[in-house]
Amino acid sequence: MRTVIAFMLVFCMQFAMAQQHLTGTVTDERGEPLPGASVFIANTQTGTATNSQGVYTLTAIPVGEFKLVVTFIGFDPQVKTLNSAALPAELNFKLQPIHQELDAVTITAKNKNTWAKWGETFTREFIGRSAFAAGCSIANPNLISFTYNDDAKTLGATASAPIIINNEALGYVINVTLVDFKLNINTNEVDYLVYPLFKELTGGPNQQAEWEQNRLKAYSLSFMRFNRSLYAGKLKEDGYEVRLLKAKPNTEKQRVQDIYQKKYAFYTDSLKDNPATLKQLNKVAEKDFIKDSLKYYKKVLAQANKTYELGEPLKADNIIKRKDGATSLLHFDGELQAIYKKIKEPDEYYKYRYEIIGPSDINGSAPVQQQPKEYPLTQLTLEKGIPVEINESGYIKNVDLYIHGFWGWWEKLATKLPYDYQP
Amino acid sequence: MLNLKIRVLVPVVLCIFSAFTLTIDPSPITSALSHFSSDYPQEKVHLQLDKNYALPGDTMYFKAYVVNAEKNQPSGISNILYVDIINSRNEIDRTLRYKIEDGFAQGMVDMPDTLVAGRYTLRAYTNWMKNFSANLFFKTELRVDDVSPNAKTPPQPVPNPKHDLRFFPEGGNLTDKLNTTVAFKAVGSDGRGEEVSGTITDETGVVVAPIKSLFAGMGRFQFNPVMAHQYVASVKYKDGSTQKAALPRVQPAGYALAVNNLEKDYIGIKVTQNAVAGASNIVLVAQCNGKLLQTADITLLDNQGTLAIPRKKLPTGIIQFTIFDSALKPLAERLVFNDRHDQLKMNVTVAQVGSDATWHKVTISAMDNLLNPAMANFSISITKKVDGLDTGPPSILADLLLTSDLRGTIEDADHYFADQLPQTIEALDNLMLTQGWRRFVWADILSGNYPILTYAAENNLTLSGTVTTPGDKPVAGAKISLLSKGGAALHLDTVANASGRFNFNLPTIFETQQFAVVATAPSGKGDLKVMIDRNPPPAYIPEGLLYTALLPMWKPTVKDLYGPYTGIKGRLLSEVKIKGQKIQTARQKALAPSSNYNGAGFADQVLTYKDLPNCRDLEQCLQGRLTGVYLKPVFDPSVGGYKMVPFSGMGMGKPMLVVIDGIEQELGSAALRKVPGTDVQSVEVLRTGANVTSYGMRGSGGVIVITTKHGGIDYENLNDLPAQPTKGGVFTRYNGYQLSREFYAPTFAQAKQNVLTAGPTLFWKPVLKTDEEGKASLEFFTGGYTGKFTIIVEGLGDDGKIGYKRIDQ
Repeated sequence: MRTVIAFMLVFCMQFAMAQQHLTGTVTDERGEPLPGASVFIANTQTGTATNSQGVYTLTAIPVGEFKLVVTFIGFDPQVKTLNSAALPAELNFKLQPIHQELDAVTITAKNKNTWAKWGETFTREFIGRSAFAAGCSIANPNLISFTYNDDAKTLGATASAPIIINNEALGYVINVTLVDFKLNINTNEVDYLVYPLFKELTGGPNQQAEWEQNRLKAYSLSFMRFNRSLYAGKLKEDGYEVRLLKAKPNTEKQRVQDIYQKKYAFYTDSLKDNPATLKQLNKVAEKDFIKDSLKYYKKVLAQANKTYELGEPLKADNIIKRKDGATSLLHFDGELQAIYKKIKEPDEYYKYRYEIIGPSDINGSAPVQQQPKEYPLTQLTLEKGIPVEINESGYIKNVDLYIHGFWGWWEKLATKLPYDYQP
Repeated sequence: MLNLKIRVLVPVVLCIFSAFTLTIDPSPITSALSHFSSDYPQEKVHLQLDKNYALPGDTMYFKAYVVNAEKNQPSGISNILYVDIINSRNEIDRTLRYKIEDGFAQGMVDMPDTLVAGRYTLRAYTNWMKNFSANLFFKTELRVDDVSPNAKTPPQPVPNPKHDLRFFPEGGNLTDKLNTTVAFKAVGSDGRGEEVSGTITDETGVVVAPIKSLFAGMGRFQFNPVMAHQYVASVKYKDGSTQKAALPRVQPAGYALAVNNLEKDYIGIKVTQNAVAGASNIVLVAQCNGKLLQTADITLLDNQGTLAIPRKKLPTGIIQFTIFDSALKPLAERLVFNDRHDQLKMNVTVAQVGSDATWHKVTISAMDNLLNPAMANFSISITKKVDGLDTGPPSILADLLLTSDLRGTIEDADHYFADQLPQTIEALDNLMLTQGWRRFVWADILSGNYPILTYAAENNLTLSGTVTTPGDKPVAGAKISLLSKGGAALHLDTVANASGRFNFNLPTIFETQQFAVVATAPSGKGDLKVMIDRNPPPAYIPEGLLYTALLPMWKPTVKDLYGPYTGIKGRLLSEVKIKGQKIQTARQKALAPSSNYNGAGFADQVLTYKDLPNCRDLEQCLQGRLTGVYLKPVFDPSVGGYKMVPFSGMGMGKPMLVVIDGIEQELGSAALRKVPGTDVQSVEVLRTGANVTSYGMRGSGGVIVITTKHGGIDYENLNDLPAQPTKGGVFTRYNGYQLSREFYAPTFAQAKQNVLTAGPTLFWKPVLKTDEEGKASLEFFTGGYTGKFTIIVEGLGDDGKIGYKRIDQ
């Protein structure tokens, strides 16, 4: 006989697992209820649809700040930023229909900029080029329209309804509400704002086990895990090495230049009629400096004016400050370099680094075919110098955070996990 | 229409915010705990053995993992590992020392060919661990069988004649009208847990709960005890016998601490009390291996309060939850095993190499919980697989996470890690309730009663002692010299401190060494007494029967495992070939270390320790034993009476020269008193012409060569250092580290020639490290063996995560 202890569990205090709920009504611009509207928390698996009275109820609210998204076909999506600490008793939405005129403009643009022309580029930047991208497909590509600005070399994309991505590699169906997508073809920079809602696929036990494995792999390399680790103050333990990258003037080059300058000043009198060129100066220097020094000076003068210096490995405390119970602020000056030292970069990224952008631009050396694989390296910059918020779930308000390097490449929809994912 | 009445259960939310409750200041608890964990760091030892059975003359190989208890990372505390071999009478046969390097040790234990068959126990610990409970030492049973024709029947463990049934209420007590879970453990007449079923009744025979065990005789039931009643369990064992056992008395007032450990994401905690109405505060403290994990205030409203702790906030391991009242008095306690499934994930594959069926390649890959490659330090054993010999020592996983923190013998500890089925989780929770153990008692450390540290953490070999006058007064400032005898010349000097204590830090010494420790008074005059410290191993007190106690002896399978054997003490012909060792008789072995100039055993008469049983005083027991030698009493004031001086009949009145371990003693001195009889290994008497000449004029009266005991032989009593003081100085045998041979893994060609037919261990490698990719591989040969084999890989990652994998193929 098995006896199971059954009792009411109450969740409170610091162990809080928010067991709150959120309810409200979704209506159209005239106040008529919209049944079947989608209401979800962005980047999670929490989502629902309104009932016949247009009423929704959401449970499993994450701790801290989150975004609630409401979409309905033919209406502009609405997004509200909420905090679990102060939830309204009721939250109603009044959706506005997509403006007809605007739509007409899009349609004309679509004629030239079709999926056939831009689909591949879009998919590469949207889904990514990781091994998991091969398992992803966009179910409704015909909803996506493109605008290409030939002067600025920028590609924009909009979708008239949520884009549905089947991620067979990680076992999710992702409903992506696309707000903004802009790719700069020249600089290879992409900016996009999406609100994905995740739903787990179901499969046989083997399929399930494969998904679990792939999710772990995706999680290990994710920016979300870095943020969780940063929040929990366990960077070193979790395998991250974080340093500040500081630009420093090359003082040795300055010193050598000064020496040359003095020589030059000394000889300018005697060379009055022949303005000193560098060639002449070198000639003078050759006479004047001993051979070894000369060799060294030449080497120094060939260096860059600025050198980059890596700081000591940082602890989370050095760069984050607790804001409130569930949120911390990430703040640093200059550039932050994060290396994940648990696993070497994936093959696809290694190839991308060498074939497309050349070697890591930090060491500046020429591409070598037999370069060894490195640990994934990412540089982070706060664009406006304003601290960004991160919370326990790994959620980061990244609008002002510029991500360059591995995570910039990796963090696409093929590798994306919901914020409520736990390994 | 039916008027349906719907009862709606409205959950009462007891969410209390600290803002409006009086909280308890837990700082005395947290500071006591941090004092305990920083000043009394706990070490754990786990050994992987190549196998857990042996024949006399066999060799056991092992790898030791010495870790700190908190993180399972290599311990930096101790550098010396002790391994005790304990015989079936629970006496310590031998204590061996091994060098620990960076938390790992590897070595071997030679099983003497004189070993009597039976059940042995191997125990491993560090000196530092002796400060705490011997329950927490690593121990495993070794089965030694003797296949020689004249082998004695091994002593069988005496069966425990009685069944045993015990109850363990969750939280500690049964309290009036507080619904409580009660765990129980039923032990059969063979000392092992036995499945039972029955009922719990009150004194009038009313059944309050049925009971049935789940695993290893352990189970649980839940009921609401009432103080006016006395509860009795009636159970039936599998042999049909029945037993009645009383439950603990129901207490009038108190607390109940109930834990729900069956949920995936959190551990639920519910505290109830029966005494007070209204609100009251308690504080819950969670700790694991001395590390504070969480403190939380719980306000009891209407006598109850609950809490849920997410598992991800707690580490993997045994977590102790304790509730305290506002006076910080512990009220109830519960151990819970939290499994985060975050240890190393292991993949071990074995494949035949080429077309040769005896050549195999094993590939190991280790990953962390996020499937990243893990660099780790492993050991691997590959043994012939024989049914019925499967119950080995617990794996490193079960040992470091579970058995090292529980009391008693944990039967089939690896069962609890085999799967994650609800019944397995419940069986593990039952184990927590019944065999839980605490490394400290809260009440003790809160009142400042910390363990007394008697044993130092050892970084290197040391020899210490005390210098006194013959009247036992310590001699401060006495000069002490330590001189080695034989091979490596070692000479160390030190000075005794104010209390006459001295300590030598020794270099790395292997095997048994002989030292003379000589003391000189600061004045240079007067006799001094030197007493060397003994550091005997802690007595072995078995906790019930060990798990393999009553498994049938395995004689029928020996042939399969060892192949052909000589019949002499189970020695194996082929093994002898491999090792190139001569078979030595016990007598030859006993004489081997003799310093006799003529060669060991070349004497007119030889006595070994076997001829001198129970000999304490050599002067007495040699009396009348030596042919042609008489012991003449001579008065000597320095010994306070008569000493015995040996004379040979052919010595023409000159006293015989006594040589102790190669050191010639002064003629006519009290030399026979210098060595306690129990320490003597052999006595050789040289009286006649050719035998005496090699000692020259000094030996013209005849020579007595005395050799003291060395390690590695089955002496009855093997405490390594003699306690008896000797005037002016003392000879002492010192057991250094055990030397190790590498396991003999044959080459392909050797394996082909069938050299490898003997021995159950096909392959053993104590150190196998995975690379950056988390991978390692090895090749081995099965030679003439064609049966199944078992591969066991154990190890630790850099971050203390445990790797374990067993495959049978």
